[in-house]
Amino acid sequence: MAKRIFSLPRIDELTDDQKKAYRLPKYGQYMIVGSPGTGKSVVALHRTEKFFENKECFFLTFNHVLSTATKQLSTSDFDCQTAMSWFYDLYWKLVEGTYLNFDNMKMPERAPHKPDYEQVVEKYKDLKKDFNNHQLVIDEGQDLPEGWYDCLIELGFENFFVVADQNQQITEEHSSRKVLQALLGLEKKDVIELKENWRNTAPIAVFANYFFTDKSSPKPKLPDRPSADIPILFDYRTIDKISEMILGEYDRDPSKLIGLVVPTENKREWYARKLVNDQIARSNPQPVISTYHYSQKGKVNIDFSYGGIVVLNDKSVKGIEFDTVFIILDDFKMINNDIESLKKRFYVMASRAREKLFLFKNSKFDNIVDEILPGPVERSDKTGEEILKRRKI
Amino acid sequence: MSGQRWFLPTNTENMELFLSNGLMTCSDGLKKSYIKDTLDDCPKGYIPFFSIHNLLEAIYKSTGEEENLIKCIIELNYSQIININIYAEVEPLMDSIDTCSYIGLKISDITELNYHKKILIPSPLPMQCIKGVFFENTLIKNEISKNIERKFGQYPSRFFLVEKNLFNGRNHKNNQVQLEKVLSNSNQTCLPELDINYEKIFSLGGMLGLMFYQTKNSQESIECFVEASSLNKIENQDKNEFKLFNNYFYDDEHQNEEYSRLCYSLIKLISEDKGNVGEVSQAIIDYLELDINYPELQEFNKKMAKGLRKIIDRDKDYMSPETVFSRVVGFCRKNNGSNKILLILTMYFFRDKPETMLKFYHEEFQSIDYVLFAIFFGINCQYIGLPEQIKQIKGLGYYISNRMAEYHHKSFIDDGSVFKNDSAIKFILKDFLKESSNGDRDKFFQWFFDFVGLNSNDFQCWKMNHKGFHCEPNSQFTFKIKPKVTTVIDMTKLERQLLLSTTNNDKDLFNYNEVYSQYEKLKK
Repeated sequence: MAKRIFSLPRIDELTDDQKKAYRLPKYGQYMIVGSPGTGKSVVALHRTEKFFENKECFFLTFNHVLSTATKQLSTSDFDCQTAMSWFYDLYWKLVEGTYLNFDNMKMPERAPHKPDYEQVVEKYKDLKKDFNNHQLVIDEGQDLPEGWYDCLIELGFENFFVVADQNQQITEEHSSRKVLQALLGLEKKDVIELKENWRNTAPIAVFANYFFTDKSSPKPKLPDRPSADIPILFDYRTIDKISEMILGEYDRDPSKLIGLVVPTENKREWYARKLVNDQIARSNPQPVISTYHYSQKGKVNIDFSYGGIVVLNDKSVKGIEFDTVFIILDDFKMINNDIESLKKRFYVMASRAREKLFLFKNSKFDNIVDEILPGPVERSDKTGEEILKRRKI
Repeated sequence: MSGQRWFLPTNTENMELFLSNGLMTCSDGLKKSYIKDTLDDCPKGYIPFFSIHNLLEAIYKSTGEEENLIKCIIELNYSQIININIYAEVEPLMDSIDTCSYIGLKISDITELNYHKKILIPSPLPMQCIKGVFFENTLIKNEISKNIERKFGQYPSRFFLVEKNLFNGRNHKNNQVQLEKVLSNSNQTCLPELDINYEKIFSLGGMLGLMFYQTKNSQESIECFVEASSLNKIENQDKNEFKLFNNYFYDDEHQNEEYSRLCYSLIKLISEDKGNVGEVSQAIIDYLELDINYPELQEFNKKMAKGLRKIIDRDKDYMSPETVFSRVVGFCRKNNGSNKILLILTMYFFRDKPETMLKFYHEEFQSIDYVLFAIFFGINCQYIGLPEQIKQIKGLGYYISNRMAEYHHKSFIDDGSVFKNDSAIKFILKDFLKESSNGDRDKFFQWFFDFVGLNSNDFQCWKMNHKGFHCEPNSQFTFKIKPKVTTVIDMTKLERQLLLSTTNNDKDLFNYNEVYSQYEKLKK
């Protein structure tokens, strides 16, 4: 296990649009929109570090993994929680809940973990609180429902910095860009769109863009980050080759955080065990192998500030990024012939990789994924480079 | 008579970029991140400074590009400049063009400029020339300075300041300049535009930063650092690659030997290519595969390219970095230690960040190899890309800044220095750990060996210089006078163990500042 280079980029390394967002005034309502990898969260965190060091600022993320990564990346002492946990905590404090009055004072819900926002708004009206000097920085703000915002506005919150991606609404109760703009009273100048891929190298961005399906918005602009590391598809014969490659990759630079993305829960557990049980002696000590599933909620055991290997199901990778990503293609299925949905999954998985991307496919079996992968000699219109190299192992 | 104060109004982003680059520069030095301010109106290659009576227009320009930018004003500390020509703006003579409305002066004349509104100084200037940075109010000062100190480390207490009157025009005067009091307009000169090779200047800074980090490893690495920071071309050196890399900064490109030309070209490639290590790899392979430049090295270059490509392509004959390096070291040995460029490039392809390169240990590497890795990575990452822990080593940032600025300006003066250099950076293996000492540092030695995890018994002993030794039957020793105890350290053994213990671990980079502060505390 070695220390990973895990820090915020310098301001001069941001894109022009990111810099515009970074410069927005301390107080007010603003929204930053952009596709995955355009560096929305980075801007939100930079801005929070610039302005706020105290308990008047809350940095809220949609899920626990993002919250953990943000806390580890930050050098300041602001409050970082998941948006829903914070919402429940705030309610509990405001109504002065204790275990004795739990039944009367608990959050009114329409269903388990689904607050009844209308009732909460009514409750807050009576409290007459004023949070107008507080600041809310909300990552993945599109995944929170309209009612959630209504409640906070009722409490007098005025300063919102919302980061959103309308193409990535993963909850049933989400808010569209239009709704958020109306709720927060945003004018055109208060919304900044990040259009450039900022996370990936150019070859990885080219590969990810190959799966971009959204017809309503343009593909993110390719980053100015050329690299010799073009994504590689390995045709493997035996499964041992996969663990050998992944552990070998760790061994060549143990400061890297490697993500292994698999299509199913069974595979996640199986690969995590296989990597843990590998006893082959290498140059560096055995890596820390962690695995996470969204059902673990707050128990995120990934240390983003050290190198290691993280095994994840493709549904749990949203918002996370790794230095290197391996994707196991076997067992991906097309449901109801929905090729677009399969492509979306690939877009999200591929765009997790900052520097290197590798795919594995069993050479003995046909794979539905072949239908959507770039052809063996296909080159990018933009860079002229091969989109995907192929190797047999 | 003391002269007036001189200021550069700008915005906090340009100012932060000066700090990141370790230099105050003209707009070219800020590259694509430059935000238009008053530097933009200035002839190429110069930095303008304004009198306290003439700040308003420049302040206005500093945030003209976008309303949310924040103003700040940098005050020039001209007492740090020894020898440079400066230019004071005067009213243009009739029919002259703008760039001719300057008079050339020596820096020593600056104290006499009581009536001038603007001066130009050739770029770049080291950080020691910043006397302070002013903000409009305390709130902004606190937010910006806290944010900057979180990124760059502590600045002196009077570095970030508030002076409202600089911003509000209270000092502004519109009256005509009474130039004749000091100098005649008849000496007006045209300012030539200056093309400055910032890539080389910043690469020198990156190189010195990483080389300094390696001075913990050996006396040899200290000697190399001292030699490189003396800013001279090396004529005779047995360390071939070190000489070649150093002399890149002195335009030593007309080499007859192919290998020398190859090293020069590769250094030029990584210095001028804007990308980081991972991104430059392809350009290196492409260059090596070109066979037109090096008829004698054609085969060697192709083999190198093939080997490096294997590292990228995760070839099926995958070998660990240790095995690959053992083979490469073996190859270099067969060639009597020459052709180390292969070793350096191999490191470059295995490790894509300076931090992780500095943590790579191989028992077959020699001390000079670690120096060469540092040079190669440093030239590529430049000063701005140095790990923050290195930039924050006490005194190092100012020292390197001084060296970068001096490197550029020294070619324009006959002898002496352009800037004051009061720096006293310390080398652990030279200034703190001595082969022989009288025991006054023993407490520090004990702390240091614990700090780096070494057993002092392996390389430390004590010698007594005494007279009249006598052994009693009960094994007690008696001396007629108090014996003199000398602490002796086997530096060769220590160096090897120190290199291993500070490199081959999963900790952060070696903490020089902790050693400096403990030395001050524990030395007698």
